Amino acid sequence: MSTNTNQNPKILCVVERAGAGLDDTAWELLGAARALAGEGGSVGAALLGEGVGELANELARGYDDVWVFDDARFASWDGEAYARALAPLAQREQPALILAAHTNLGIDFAPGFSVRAGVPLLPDCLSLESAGDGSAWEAVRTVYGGKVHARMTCTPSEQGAMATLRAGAFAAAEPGAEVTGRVHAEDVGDDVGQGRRPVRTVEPEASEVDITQAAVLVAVGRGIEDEENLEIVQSLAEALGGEVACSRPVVDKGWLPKSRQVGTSGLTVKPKVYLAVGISGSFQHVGGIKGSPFLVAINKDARAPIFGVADVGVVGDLFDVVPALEAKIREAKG
Amino acid sequence: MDIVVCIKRVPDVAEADVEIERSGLRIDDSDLSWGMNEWDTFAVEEALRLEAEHGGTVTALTVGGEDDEEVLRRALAMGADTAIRLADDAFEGSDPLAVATVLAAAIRKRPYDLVLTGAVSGDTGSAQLGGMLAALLGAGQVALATRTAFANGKLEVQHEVEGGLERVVELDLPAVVTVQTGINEPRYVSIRGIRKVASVEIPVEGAGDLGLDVAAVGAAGAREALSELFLPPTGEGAEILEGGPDEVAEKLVERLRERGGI
Amino acid sequence: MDFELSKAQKDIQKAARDFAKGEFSKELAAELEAKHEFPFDIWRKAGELGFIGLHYPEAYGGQDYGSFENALVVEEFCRRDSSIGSAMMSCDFSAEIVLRCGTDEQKKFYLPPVAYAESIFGGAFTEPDHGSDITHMATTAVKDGDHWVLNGVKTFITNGGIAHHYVVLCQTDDEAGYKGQSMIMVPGDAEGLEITDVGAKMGIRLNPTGELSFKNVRVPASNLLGKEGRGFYQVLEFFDESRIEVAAQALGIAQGAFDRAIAHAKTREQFGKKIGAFQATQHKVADMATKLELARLITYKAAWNYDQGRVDPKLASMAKLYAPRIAVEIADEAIQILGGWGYMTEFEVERFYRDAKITEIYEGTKEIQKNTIAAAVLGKLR
Ligand SMILES: Cc1cc2nc3c(=O)[nH]c(=O)nc-3n(C[C@H](O)[C@H](O)[C@H](O)COP(=O)(O)OP(=O)(O)OC[C@H]3O[C@@H](n4cnc5c(N)ncnc54)[C@H](O)[C@@H]3O)c2cc1C
Ligand SMILES: Cc1cc2nc3c(=O)[nH]c(=O)nc-3n(C[C@H](O)[C@H](O)[C@H](O)COP(=O)(O)OP(=O)(O)OC[C@H]3O[C@@H](n4cnc5c(N)ncnc54)[C@H](O)[C@@H]3O)c2cc1C
Ligand SMILES: Cc1cc2nc3c(=O)[nH]c(=O)nc-3n(C[C@H](O)[C@H](O)[C@H](O)COP(=O)(O)OP(=O)(O)OC[C@H]3O[C@@H](n4cnc5c(N)ncnc54)[C@H](O)[C@@H]3O)c2cc1C
Repeated sequence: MSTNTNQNPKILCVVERAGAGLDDTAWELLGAARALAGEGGSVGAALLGEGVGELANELARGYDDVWVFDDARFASWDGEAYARALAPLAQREQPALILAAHTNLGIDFAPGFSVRAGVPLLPDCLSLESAGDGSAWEAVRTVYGGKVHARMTCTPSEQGAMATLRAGAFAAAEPGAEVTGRVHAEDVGDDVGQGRRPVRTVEPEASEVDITQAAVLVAVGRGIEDEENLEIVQSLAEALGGEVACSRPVVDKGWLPKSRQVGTSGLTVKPKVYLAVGISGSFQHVGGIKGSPFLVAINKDARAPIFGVADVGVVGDLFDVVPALEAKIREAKG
Repeated sequence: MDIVVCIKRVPDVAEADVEIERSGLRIDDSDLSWGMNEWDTFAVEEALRLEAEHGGTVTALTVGGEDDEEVLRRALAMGADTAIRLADDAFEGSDPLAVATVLAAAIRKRPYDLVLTGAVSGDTGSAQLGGMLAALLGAGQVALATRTAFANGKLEVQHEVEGGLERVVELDLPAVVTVQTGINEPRYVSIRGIRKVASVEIPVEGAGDLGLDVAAVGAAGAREALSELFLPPTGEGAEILEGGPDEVAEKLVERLRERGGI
Repeated sequence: MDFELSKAQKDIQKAARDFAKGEFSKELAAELEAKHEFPFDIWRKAGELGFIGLHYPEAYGGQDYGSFENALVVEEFCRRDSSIGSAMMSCDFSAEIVLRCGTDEQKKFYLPPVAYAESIFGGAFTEPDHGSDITHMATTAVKDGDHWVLNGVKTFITNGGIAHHYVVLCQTDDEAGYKGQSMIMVPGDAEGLEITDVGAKMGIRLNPTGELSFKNVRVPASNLLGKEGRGFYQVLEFFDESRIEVAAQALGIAQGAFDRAIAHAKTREQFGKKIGAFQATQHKVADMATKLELARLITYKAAWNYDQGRVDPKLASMAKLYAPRIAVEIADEAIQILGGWGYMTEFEVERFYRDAKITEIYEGTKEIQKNTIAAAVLGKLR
């Protein structure tokens, strides 16, 4: 066991940047970590990047310690280089628990890092608690496409344990007004891996419609079955005066451009009304819907996870419901 | 280029009523159809595409029981050159790290330039395998690839970062790349392909063959364990509209009107 | 005795299922049905992947599999979609006669293009006045030097108009009755061959059904298929194989209708309950499931026996009698379980029902199957 038990543990959070600022998850990790650390524990953040002094100070308004790795090699996220750089910090600080976000970047970073740090990893947690009188961690995560929840237990190694938290699942902690934490500049060793080199960043392709600005979105998923069938959602969107959006499989199949994809690897949208048609409701999809719109789900599977987050649901075949809905809308609009 | 693809057999739950067995540790999979994990089909296709362009070999690996051999035969029928099933009683109860440990041992035994895995699996969906494997092999790694290209001994990989942003990176080989859906169009299995592999005996390698310490794998080595499966709490969630299509359409129009959708 | 499919058979079943899932859709089927159009794109893809003629030897473009494996593919295709599946199943109709009776040269010429989806086949036996009874054909073929000259009319010919080749059953010796019949290969574009559609029909609308009118159609003498005077027997031998395929078609259609009915029974609520919770529905489902299982057993057994070289006309007829009958019954019950929705085109089961019915008619009506079965059981009675 590490010197820290789960009682009053020392927790290290590896935080993410988003654009020029911090990602929302930086504060969600803090919220989760504070709850677990209790009064006697401590919560630190590790921040990697180039010229991130300001961000480090911002973090120090909530975290007790901020370890900063400021180096040109960290300018863009590199899961592998980050893992190599952070392994010595973990060895030195011996946190009982290391947290990161289960984002695309977290997926790139956490598994390899956990091996290097010699800690077991609980991925994609919806909740995380101390268990077994403080000798273990217990987490709930989703399996089978969100249709089932799994309670997992993890026994820390000598070096502790690690967990990645689903974005949005934990309440964020508000940073304080003052800098109260300590900021430590970390030496960056030579061995951060030159095996992976950034070439360029690819921006999402521009398109004439911007679904992030639409008030009404009719989003279509794999349930549509065929490219030709898109017509029915297009004319529903038209009747509603909205735009067509979609889930990832629809883009993967080349039926709609990436600029219409909602989700963690697509766009984040904030409409007033969101119709999810033939979409199961994976967290990667739902993660792209912000601003709590009025969410309507049309799905033939009564157990589809989308019904868990929708306001109103119709259990039925979209090929019936969508045309009927369009007709009623046109009727209502006269 | 010698490529190893790690694949897994999973049940298709997309449109199924998933029930949990009384033990609380397994879903009732008796009525589910099984097949290759969706992401893995893209990984196999990508391996075959790279092989067709640059030569070399494609080897498919799975850690699993006899039933799981099905996905290896599928990979062979798609065009993989070799398939090996990694199985041993000692592997029972493995956690993701132990599975990665078994795979790493099998990969180390043979020449390889590139390891491809699916980005995530449709069942347990933990998205850990590729990264763990890379760290165990001491190889480079990138997750969530949407394009790969090989030139001058380097692999260029485009992968997903956040918010629709993607990044292109260059990797030294050997490396481990986890593959996203949509990177290619996985081919159908042809009857011609099935026939070619029908009589192939797929070798099985166990802990002994792989030189693995049985204490490091299986339930013995697992630090992560499942304590319970349960259905997501209902009650919260959507108000379900009842009736035929016209009826529900009518009710929906009302709701949409209230919420400013019309 | 082992009722398990082999690994390769399971792989074939899954490959067919995946292909059908990826390529067939109810919208496409409805569109093609409305246009009475053959699914050419799917056919080409199926050919590339080896789903057609997998039971031909490799030397002739096939995969060396048997009727059994072919039946598995037909079943999966028809399960996913009764109309597209039926069209796929009959795209090589009668090519097996070339396989069983043709010369090596004929097999090499005709079969690989069929397997690779470059050539569609038709079998022309039925005539306006000769349906169940084909012991005498009005269509004649007369030797003229090194040619055959055909005259007459064939009707109800599946793929009539799109087939590249027809196997035509002709009277070559008018005096000798059924012993005076021969099969002649006629290309679809032969001079003097006129093909018209027979008109609107109940189901299988993705396959054209044509009337073939032969006016002094000349084909080389080498277009004789099999032996002169053996045509009638060759049809019967072909039926021993093809009736098993029709049974598999019916089985697939039945399973597809059943799948859709079950999905509906599990979700549709009336009187505050899932309709599947009513005993009336449960008993329907139990009967349907049992019939399906029986149809599968008899079809698989007939196919398996055939592949073992145990040609059994009685068993083939039993499969061709039973599976089509339960396909019609199950599709009917599926409509019933879907209630008003079942009656609507969009819910597919009414199309499955319409497609199922032909399996009780073509390649020998159910009454003719009973005649065959009874004759085998009772022997010749005096
Ligand atoms: C790292 C990562 C990033 C990802 N990013 C994204 C992302 O940005 N956006 C995204 O969407 N996904 C993303 N995904 C994929 C995600 O995990 C899911 O696979 C995807 O969202 C599923 O899309 P879907 O709901 O359309 O399809 P499915 O999950 O297949 O659901 C289809 C639904 O349609 C229903 N249906 C079928 N037929 C009918 C019918 N006739 N009538 C009514 N309903 C019907 C079914 O019941 C089912 O619920 C990502 C995955 C990973 C691993
Ligand atoms: C869509 C379609 C596609 C077809 N495709 C082809 C094709 O590709 N090639 C081809 O050659 N033909 C084809 N046929 C023809 C089909 O094989 C015949 O329709 C079938 O053999 C029945 O013949 P018939 O229609 O002349 O009916 P009839 O022979 O006139 O029979 C009418 C009724 O009398 C019954 N009956 C007849 N004789 C007896 C008896 N001895 N005992 C008891 N009952 C009897 C029959 O069972 C039936 O119920 C097709 C038909 C259809 C509708
Ligand atoms: C072409 C057409 C025209 C129509 N015209 C009219 C019309 O003019 N006016 C009108 O009002 N309606 C009309 N209908 C509707 C028709 O009356 C209904 O379809 C019918 O009442 C069945 O209802 P349903 O379709 O909702 O099926 P459901 O009620 O959902 O029934 C589905 C299945 O469940 C079974 N089931 C339901 N409850 C029970 C139970 N308690 N015990 C055992 N089994 C049960 C049913 O028997 C059926 O097999 C029409 C329908 C069609 C297709």
